[in-house]
Amino acid sequence: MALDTSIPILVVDDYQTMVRIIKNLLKQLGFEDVDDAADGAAALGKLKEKKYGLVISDWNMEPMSGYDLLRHVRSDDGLRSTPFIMVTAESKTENVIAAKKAGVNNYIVKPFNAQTLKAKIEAVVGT
Amino acid sequence: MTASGVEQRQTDRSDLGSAAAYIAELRMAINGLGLLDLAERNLGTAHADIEDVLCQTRKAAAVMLETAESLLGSCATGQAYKSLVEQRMIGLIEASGFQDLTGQRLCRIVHSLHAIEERLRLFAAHVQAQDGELRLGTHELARKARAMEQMLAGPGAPGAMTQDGIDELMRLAG
Repeated sequence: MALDTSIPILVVDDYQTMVRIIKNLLKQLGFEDVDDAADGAAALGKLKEKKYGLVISDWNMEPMSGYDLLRHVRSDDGLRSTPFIMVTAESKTENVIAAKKAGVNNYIVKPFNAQTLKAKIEAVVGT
Repeated sequence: MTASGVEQRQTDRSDLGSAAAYIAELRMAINGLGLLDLAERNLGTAHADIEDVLCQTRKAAAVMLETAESLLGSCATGQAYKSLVEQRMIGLIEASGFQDLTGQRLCRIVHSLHAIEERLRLFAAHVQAQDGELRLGTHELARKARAMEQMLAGPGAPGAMTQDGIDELMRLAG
């Protein structure tokens, strides 16, 4: 499956080490245009300023969680079509179902490897 | 004083004696908890230990990421690249040392938690405690409410799924 590596990606996580890990993995996959935000509110600000081709977000963040960010994105006419992958340690069945109902495109449980990240990105934005 | 009055007075005296004995017993049980010792020696150092573990693991992760980034971003070839890899590997080996100290600190925290748990169990048994309605502070109440509202259970919580299970659920949910 081909990946359009020119798409801008927004990585949302309040743990700087995880942001750095994901950004490094994305760089290895060929993505160069990658920004980050430390929580859902900061991410919404960035999403309003720039058109992103993919959001990769953690769930558990303060003040705005990734789950709330997802719901905001899906209820905003200008953002609702933005592909959204949740990358989180929250792996209870009800979390996955709630995220799916809220419109998440894919769901990755931490800890994950590069292969899983690649496969999920391909499934969501691959052509 | 009538006969019944004397009898009542003896009963009151006996009740007061029982209450005083219970209070003395309770005081002994409370003192046996060693609250000051728990606060100063167990919980006090646990805070510092956990903060240090966070700091050390963060530093080690930074060294690992810097190593990977410098090697992946390097333009060096041949002997120069080999030297760079060797130098960076030494850095990784040194960084691995964090596990020794953090392991010792975590062991100390685990011991402290065991000590607290054991003393509380003894106390509860001593006073024949039964759980009533919990009285939570505002911070704990807010934390619980947010966890409930946002479905926050954390890693490895009961009911946690593997990636394969999640993939299957996502597929089924269409």
